[in-house]
Amino acid sequence: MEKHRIKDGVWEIPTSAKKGMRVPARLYSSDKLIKSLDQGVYEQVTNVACLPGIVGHALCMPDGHWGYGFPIGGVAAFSTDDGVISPGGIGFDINCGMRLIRTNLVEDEIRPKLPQLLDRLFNYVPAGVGVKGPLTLSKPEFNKVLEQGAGWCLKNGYASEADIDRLEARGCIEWADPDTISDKVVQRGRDQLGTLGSGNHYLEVEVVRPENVFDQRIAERLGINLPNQIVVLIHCGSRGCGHQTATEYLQVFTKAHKKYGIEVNDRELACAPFKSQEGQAYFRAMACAANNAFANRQFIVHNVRRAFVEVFGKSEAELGLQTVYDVAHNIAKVERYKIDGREQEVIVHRKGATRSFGPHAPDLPSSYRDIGQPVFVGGSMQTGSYLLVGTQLAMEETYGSTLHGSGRTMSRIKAKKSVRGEDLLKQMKEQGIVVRAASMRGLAEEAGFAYKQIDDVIGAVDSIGISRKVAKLVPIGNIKG
Amino acid sequence: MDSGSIGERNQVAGKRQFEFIDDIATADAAYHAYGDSLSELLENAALGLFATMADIKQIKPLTRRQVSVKGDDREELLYNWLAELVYLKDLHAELYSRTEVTIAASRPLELTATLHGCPITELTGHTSCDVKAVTYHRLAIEESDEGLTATIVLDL
Repeated sequence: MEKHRIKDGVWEIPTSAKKGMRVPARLYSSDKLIKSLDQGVYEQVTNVACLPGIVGHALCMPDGHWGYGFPIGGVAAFSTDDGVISPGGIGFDINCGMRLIRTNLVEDEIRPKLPQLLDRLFNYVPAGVGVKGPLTLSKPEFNKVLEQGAGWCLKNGYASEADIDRLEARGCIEWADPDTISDKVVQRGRDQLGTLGSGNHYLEVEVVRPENVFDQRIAERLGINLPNQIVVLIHCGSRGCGHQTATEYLQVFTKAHKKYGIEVNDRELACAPFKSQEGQAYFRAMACAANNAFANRQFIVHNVRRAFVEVFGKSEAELGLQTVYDVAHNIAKVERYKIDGREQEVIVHRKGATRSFGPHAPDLPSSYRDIGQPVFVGGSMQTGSYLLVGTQLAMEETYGSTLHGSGRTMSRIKAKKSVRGEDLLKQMKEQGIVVRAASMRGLAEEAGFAYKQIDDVIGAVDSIGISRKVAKLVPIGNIKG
Repeated sequence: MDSGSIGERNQVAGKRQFEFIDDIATADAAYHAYGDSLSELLENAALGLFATMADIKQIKPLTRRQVSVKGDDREELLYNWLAELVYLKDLHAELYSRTEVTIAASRPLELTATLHGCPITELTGHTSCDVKAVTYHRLAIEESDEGLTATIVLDL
């Protein structure tokens, strides 16, 4: 497909590339990464560019890969006046996201107790196929989770004010309305709070080695202030609650296409006008699922703290188990940007893309206002993850968005054929990574070689400037579903 | 049909039930399900769904459930059937290795089915990856001399 390089790291696909494109598409990448970009990404990002009411450009981040509907790594903004909202631009796992916890522990202190810690974490954070959490909530109580998000955890003793202050949107999207979700959503979600899920979801104990700190000043502001400091990174989402919400509204929107005269190139791009009854209902239902995800990650953090306190015999305060930040990478938000020379209100869709607000942007905790929003990017379980911060350039070019992961390059089937879970477990042990996994087959599917090199992908975003790298986090303990 | 390369397959008495497709959903799972009739196709589609989540040979028929599902056309019935099974998996924390599907009505299409399976707690060490949802991506049922073939992509 036709594309032009418009500056280092950014390629544009003009509207002439496909019939029906309303705006050009832009690929954020690098000379190396663009060569191996899935053909499916070109197809999908240009399909997004055809959707009604899209403004600016349809974007794909450097970790972009073939999804359905939107590419993974897809970002698009639609006018709230005459644009659409699309569940396919958000993903089935609504508010899948990342939470980073810092500690006062360093690698030498944790190593002797690491197996014991991992056992306790594996016990307290249920992971794997169809697992249930420790709570079964009544429908009225679950509705409170959907309305209040992490605020529900605060009221029930599973969060502190300091946690809430450091979550995207303070862990609660206020327009959530439980009347917009079905009984099935409630039934599927009400006993899953505090569960990790499976696939690429994980809870990792990681170390920040001195040579992996790229911006000491910002790292210190984020609480990363000890050589070989231990942090905990959690990657998971809204579980069955979000998956069921997306499934049901995809069908609602498909049926509403005729009513609104909408045609899409892929059924997964089903959408409805943002201001329509269906669009507004989904927007409120999506917020319910997003709040469930904020509560889910917070409840997991509560249980992570219990595990650390019990294993190390010290208080939470002594262990310094503080939230650094929590950010969504599958969500749609109403935001304002200067587009084509004028400020506009848009509904920004981020599917496998992280918000990357620069310094002084709205919704940043006061303590981070001058440094920008923390961004967490998960790599494979063998290579590590990155801590970055958002930039002004992201506000100007990418609707305050950046990448979310390293992106798979090998299918799950091929990965399973290439390595046995038991052998991978042994390899990881030799690398110094202690693993507790619900499934050996599931573990093999997540082998490091099945993913792009995260250092390449992070190098690309750092050099383009839509987020800046602060530190690399190297895994030493991993809980997998 | 752009089927991609074929991965794991399952067949009984030389008859194909489902096959995973390797390269149309890198981060997720895609498969073909086969059947001489729509009901057989739906049974094999269910088998492929549960084979994504666990070693189906280990799912013993300990529990039994009845379900009915409607759809405006064959694809919609297939989608709604698999989506219902994903829902039941979470609701009951069970996986199913055998389903008996009867097409109960033709307009709109309706199926009734009996599910045989076991609690997920019985499957320690035999599960793999959870299925979050069924997608519409490339969802299709095609008919040939060899019978019906469905293409299904799951979100993992």
